Amino acid sequence: MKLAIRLSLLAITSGLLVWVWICLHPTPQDAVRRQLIALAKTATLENREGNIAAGLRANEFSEFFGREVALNMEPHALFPDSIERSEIARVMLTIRTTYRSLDVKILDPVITIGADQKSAIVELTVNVAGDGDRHLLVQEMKFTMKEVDGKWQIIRVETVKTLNSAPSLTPPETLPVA
Amino acid sequence: MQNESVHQEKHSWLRTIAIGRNPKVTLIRVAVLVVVCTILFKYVLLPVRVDGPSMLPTYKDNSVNLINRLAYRNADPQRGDIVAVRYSGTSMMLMKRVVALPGETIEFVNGRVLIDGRYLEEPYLKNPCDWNVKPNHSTMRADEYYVVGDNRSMPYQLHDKGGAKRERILGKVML
Repeated sequence: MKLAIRLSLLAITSGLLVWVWICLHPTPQDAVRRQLIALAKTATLENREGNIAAGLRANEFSEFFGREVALNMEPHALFPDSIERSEIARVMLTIRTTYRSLDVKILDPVITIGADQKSAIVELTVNVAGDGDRHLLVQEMKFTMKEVDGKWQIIRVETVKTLNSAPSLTPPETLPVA
Repeated sequence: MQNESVHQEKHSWLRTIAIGRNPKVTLIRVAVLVVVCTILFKYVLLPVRVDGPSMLPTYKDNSVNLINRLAYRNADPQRGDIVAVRYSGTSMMLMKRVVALPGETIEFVNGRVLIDGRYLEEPYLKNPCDWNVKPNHSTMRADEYYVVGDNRSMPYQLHDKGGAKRERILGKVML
């Protein structure tokens, strides 16, 4: 019995040591995952904020991005090819002062670390709930991230088409026989 | 004395209900059950909750269902199958009906689906539809299936539909 207790204690201690080691020395995957969790947390808005708080939070949100971020987002007519960090903060501020609440979740991130260990491509699903709508936005996206001074920043954002559908408003050319 | 005996009997009865006559065997049973359930409900039958009106009236909002992940291991999706289409993972999925198969051309005329110029019989549709659209991407590629919900009384633009790549089709809706 004593041996069993000793073995259990040894297993628990080893587990704790491994956990501490992982926390202190995260792999690039872990670091990217943590950054994405922090990004979602920063974007989340629990209650309507004052302008100063919203500004600070929007600024904090923009720090997750590089100085200039390349965009490849649909519909292309609505989004520019690139956006500066300051502009991201401005857009976030507008969003935070428009909505009463936002719950941002980043789901199922698939992280591929580059050979240099300093870049990553992340495929993920963003689900935003807000103002009573459980799925205000559900969008599959692809982020390109780069490690700059020990911090993983998003340098490219793309939308991914889950279903290939480019709607056309043109009526069908022919009507078939019923 | 009698009270004590009754109390002990009750205690032993409760103990048998809670952990069985042989706690070691119960523990093994529980462990096996946990392992079997984990494998079954993660890799074989994925439990899902329907969220949204796009599959009405076939599936109501908030109903619970199972996705058979093995359904398309050795077979391809068929027209009329209700399938789960994944996003980047399985936390959220689209539940849609397959109406066009690879290589086929789809359009909507007066709310009815046309496949390669022929009307598709869809007895499961109950709600009226007025869609008159030929999608820009109307001919399915070799690995693509056109999926759409059963509730086509929604405006065309608000309804998620389109070509789903075979690799994104996770399984067939079971119930």
